[in-house]
Amino acid sequence: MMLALIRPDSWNFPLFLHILGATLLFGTVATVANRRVSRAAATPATNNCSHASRSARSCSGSSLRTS
Amino acid sequence: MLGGGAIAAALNLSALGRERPSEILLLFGLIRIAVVAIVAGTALAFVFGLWLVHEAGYGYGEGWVIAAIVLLIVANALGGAGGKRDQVTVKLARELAGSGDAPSPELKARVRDPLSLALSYGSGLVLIVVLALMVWKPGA
Repeated sequence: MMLALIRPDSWNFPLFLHILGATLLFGTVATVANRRVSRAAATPATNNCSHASRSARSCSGSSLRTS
Repeated sequence: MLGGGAIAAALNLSALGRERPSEILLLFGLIRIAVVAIVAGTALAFVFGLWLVHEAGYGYGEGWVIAAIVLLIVANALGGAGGKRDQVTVKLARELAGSGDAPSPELKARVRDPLSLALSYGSGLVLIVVLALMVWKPGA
């Protein structure tokens, strides 16, 4: 606590950016994770692709999407 | 408090891209958990903030302290108003989910209601202003 009290004024902006950046990063990670989990859940669990034939050309199912 | 706000915003952004009422219902239901974190964080920030003001030798009558308290109340009022409008959306989503779960233009419009979004995201912006007051303490 004492460190927070005696910090110089020149640290104000970096400190503000630090907290704001952490908040935005947290929110962004949560948003991206949410979307990826939702997409994975929407993807059919089974598909017609055999392990040997897994390629973007031979397997048109959405389960091979990487994005 | 800010973490809960970030999670609520993330869930809200996810809901904006959804069509099915059941998905929107789920995401808005999860936002309620984030709201609990926001309320708990606000209460703790308020109590420990006032304690810190005393411990650090600042006065409760200083402008930045009063402004921070007022803005904290304003942020909660804005968030509460946005939340009440969202409750109507949740009610509609629940009805639609129970009757076929088909996408509805009315629900989509409600999820994207500009006033609800302005109230909720405005609340978050006010909290960032409070954070700036805590960091810079203008007038102290």
